[in-house]
Amino acid sequence: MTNALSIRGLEVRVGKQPILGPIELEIPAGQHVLLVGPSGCGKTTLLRAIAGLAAPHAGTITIDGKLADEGGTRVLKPAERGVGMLFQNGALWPHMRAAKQLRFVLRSRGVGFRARRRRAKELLNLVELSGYGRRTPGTLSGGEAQRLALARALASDPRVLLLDEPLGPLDAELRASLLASLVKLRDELGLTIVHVTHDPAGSADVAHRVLRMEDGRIVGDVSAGRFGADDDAEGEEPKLGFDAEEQPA
Amino acid sequence: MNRALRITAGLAFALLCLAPILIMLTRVGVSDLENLGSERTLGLLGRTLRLGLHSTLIAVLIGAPFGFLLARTDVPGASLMRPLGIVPLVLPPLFLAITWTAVFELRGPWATALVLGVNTFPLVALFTAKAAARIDARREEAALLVGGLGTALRMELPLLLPGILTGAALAFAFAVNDWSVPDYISSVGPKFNVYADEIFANWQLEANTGKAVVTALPLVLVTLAALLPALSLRRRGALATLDGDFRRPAPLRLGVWRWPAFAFCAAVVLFAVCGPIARLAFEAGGGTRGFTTTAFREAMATTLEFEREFLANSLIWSAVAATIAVPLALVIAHAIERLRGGRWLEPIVLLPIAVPAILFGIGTINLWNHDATAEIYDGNAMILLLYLGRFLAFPILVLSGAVAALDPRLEEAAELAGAGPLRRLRAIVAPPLRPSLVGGWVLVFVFAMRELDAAVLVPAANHTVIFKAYNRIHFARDDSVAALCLLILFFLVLPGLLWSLFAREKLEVLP
Repeated sequence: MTNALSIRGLEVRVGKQPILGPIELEIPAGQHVLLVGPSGCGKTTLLRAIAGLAAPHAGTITIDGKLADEGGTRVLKPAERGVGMLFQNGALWPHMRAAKQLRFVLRSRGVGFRARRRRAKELLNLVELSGYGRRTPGTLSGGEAQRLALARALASDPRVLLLDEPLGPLDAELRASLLASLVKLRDELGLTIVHVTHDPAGSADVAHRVLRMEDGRIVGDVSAGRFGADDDAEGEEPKLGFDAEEQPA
Repeated sequence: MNRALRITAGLAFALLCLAPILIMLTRVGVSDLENLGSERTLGLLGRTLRLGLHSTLIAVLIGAPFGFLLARTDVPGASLMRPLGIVPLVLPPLFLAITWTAVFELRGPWATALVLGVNTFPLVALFTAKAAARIDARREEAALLVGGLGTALRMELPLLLPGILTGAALAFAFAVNDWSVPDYISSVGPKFNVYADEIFANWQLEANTGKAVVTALPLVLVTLAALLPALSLRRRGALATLDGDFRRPAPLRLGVWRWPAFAFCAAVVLFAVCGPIARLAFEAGGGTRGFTTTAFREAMATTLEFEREFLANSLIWSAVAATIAVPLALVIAHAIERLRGGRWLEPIVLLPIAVPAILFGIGTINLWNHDATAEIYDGNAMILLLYLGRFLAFPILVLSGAVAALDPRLEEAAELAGAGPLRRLRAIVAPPLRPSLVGGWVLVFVFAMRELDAAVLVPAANHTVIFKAYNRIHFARDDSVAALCLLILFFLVLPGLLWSLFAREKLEVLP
């Protein structure tokens, strides 16, 4: 299987202070990877670097076979990487109605007027928001807003979907419902997903693989099945597989 | 954002706002520096600073309680008095000086401080109200539970203080740089000079530009010293107590203090707004010679007929200046907030506000009064350049604050979607900032309409209605002066009035 995402020696710094890396990571196409770890460990920074929103200091990022970053130089602009991102708390544009949010993305992608309207409707149906096209973000519930943010992330037809705490603000029932939608879309569209969360409960059941991050590095990498087993076992250190030095190349 | 766009906006700011200031510095010779320590200069500086401090004290004493009471308490009539309380800031301070000296026969430096204090108190009130509205309901409820209203107010004062100080710093900057009020009050009573007079005298009477610049330097430094900490307070978020799950507080119940509080607020509105406007209307209708509505209508109609050209000139150029300033300001404000190190540019933005208007006018003359630019200097474009140079800083400060409050992820999401820099600015950044964009437009429009201190020096700007009013004050009948002032006032208040009537969002005019 080809790798949808390949990261080698990735480092991100703020000034001279390293905040991420070095990161070595290979994610095969169609894999759902859960990225867990405490707040401030670099999970979101890694997502932003993949999306091209944070400038790496060193290393390479290859997305779907295309070199996106090399040695601290941005090769592909964020919009050219074929990634969609669901931001923490949605980051929906507050002044745009639901359908307009999607049409805006489609127009940016050069989709024609009629096709935009049709595709926006399809996307709303896809995330079970049909009939919500004229609603503004302020009038949506937390779950509805996250679904709309998901539709917006999917509007650019991404191969890789980056999810930054997508279930964070939701209650248990809504989390389960959105997670089920995510899995359905992942399987239908063949998406590769990098899913950041500080609370893996529930999400680990649907992911294929779980990575644990600490202090800007990946310190554990196990299949999702093992993650649950290790988590239950008390006193075993480290909880996830191996130390950073033992990461597979 | 597009680099070319940023560079163009930066160059425009440099040419319009900084070049008139920098060109003045090149005229300073070593011998001019001797003027800095002269007894006369130091005496005038001391008098101007005292005037500034006294007027700021008055602005704080009126503005802080006025802003807090109308923003956070159950004082009756708050919704009506809130917009009326902004009107003194819109009024040219000269108009306040005319009406107050006519009614109370106020004379001398204290009268000047009072007029400037009343003119600038809305700045303190607006910042206080903004800080007060951002106190979380739960913090207030906790204080109310512990010890009632007094405890709640003691808890809130430190949270209000940065807002009060920021408003006070701006009020001080306005007061020490004003020239029209001391000039007018001196002309109707005992003569006293302020610093702006000295700058003007050094330039015009002694034809010594370098000396004028050196004279102005201490005042510029003092103004910057007042404004920079205010800017820093805003940067550190000291003006905001908002956090993630903010709960808007309910109005505080004043109990037996409700009606005394109403009396205070109503008195402020009466003396600072209704009184001056009523006096102007009274004068326009005949004044002490006998007020009649026929005379009032005649005075208004005659004034409109005679001054139509000047009024149109002012309205058009103020509106054009505001319309050009706002997109320019948005690009610069966005660069300040989003570029790495961009915030270091903000103190530079303050320079045109800190430099006395008279000096800015002299700088503009020095910059543009050459053979090569004679066409610009003599034409109406000069008015535009002067207005933009003097007031572009205001929408930049308003919009940089608004951009700072806008979640950068909104732009990142659009960038990921493939929207280019201009489209992101137009479709993602600008719409949520609409109240600030319109607020910035209104600020430039109002300040340009009432601009006199620098315009009085630049020949092209002499064809404006405020200059005409200034001339009439000295040479024309009271009824025609009052009618012209009322006309100007109507157009000054009009944009804000229209917005509040037809828009659902609150106008944002604070940095």
